[in-house]
Amino acid sequence: MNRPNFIKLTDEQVRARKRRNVAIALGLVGFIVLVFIVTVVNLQRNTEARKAAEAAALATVERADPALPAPALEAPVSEPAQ
Amino acid sequence: MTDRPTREIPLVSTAQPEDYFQLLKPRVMSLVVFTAVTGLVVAPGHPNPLLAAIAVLCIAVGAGAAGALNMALEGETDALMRRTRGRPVAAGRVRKNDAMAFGVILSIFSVMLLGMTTNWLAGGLLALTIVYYAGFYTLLLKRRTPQNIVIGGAAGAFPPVIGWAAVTGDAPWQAWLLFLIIFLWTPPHSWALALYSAGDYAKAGIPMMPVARGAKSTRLQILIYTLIFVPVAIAPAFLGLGGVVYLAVSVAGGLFFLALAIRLWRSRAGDQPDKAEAVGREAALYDVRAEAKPARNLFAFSILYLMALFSALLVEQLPGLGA
Repeated sequence: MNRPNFIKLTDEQVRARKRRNVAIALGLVGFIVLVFIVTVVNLQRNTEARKAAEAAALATVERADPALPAPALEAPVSEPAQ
Repeated sequence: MTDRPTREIPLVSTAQPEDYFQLLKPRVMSLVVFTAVTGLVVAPGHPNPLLAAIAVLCIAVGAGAAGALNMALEGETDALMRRTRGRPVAAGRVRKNDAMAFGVILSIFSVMLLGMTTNWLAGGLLALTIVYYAGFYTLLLKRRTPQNIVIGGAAGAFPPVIGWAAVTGDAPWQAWLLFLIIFLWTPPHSWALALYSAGDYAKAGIPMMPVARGAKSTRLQILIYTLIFVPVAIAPAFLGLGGVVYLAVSVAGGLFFLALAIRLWRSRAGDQPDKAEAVGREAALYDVRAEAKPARNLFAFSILYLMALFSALLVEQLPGLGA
């Protein structure tokens, strides 16, 4: 059985291919890092937004129920200075 | 019919990473980054600095991808022109299909990442820019009409709108005013260059204005566009987008721009074959005949003026210099 006749690469071609492969690898790693950063930052922002929304909702519920004490989120109105 | 050179395409690529970087048109990319950053900084709001940096990177890569697609599609034409014959595809260092694949992959990655990082309006505008430049301008307009650069100029004008949309999630009239400045700047800028490269464009079969309508008509149209462009460039100072610094830069630079356009209109730039053609050798971008110097001066100053306008908008965002 005959072996397929592959192209024999020159040293220059091999070197160029290696450099391209390294560049592709760096590009892919860079892309993964960027996606990771975006994910973490967005996760952080969404968590903070959810906490703020929950606090606001709780404050609304507490205000609506007269049996509960006044919500601590609102500062008491101070008396005007005489 | 154009005389197309036959180039030997190597069976195995010897392209270097630098060749692929050249496909991104780094000089054009730097202008895109600059205008996109301006849109991003001028827009109301405080984006996360890390996400803003990634958004700018996405816009830069997206613009580069459009450049790679343009070079892939224009390889044969580029090989006919002095200014572009050294480009990777035109010179045969990168194969057309490789450049095409590179452009498509970078387009997809940049649009997706920008959409994920900021919002899908910004991502959609970036996708529109790429399709507009690579598809609409390169494939349809460039070879069909002398107005190619007027309509196609919109592709280069999108980056500040994308930057603005990345921050606010919308594109108000202020963002479109920045778009309009670049859009109206493009014809005088490109036609000034074309006036002293007309021989190349004619050889490549591209109906640029000096080739299709002649140098005299082009010089007049440059002046007309300048008369429209300069007031629009000054407008942000009166519409709350720019302040005193912007007013000073836009008025002083605008008047100088107009003076150069008038000098060009009164000159004979483009009437004679350009220098490299006349002497039959390669010539640098700024190496022109004495008659063509007004065209070269306007071309060079137009880049400086656009940079100065957007720099002024950026500078005014510094504390204490607000508009």
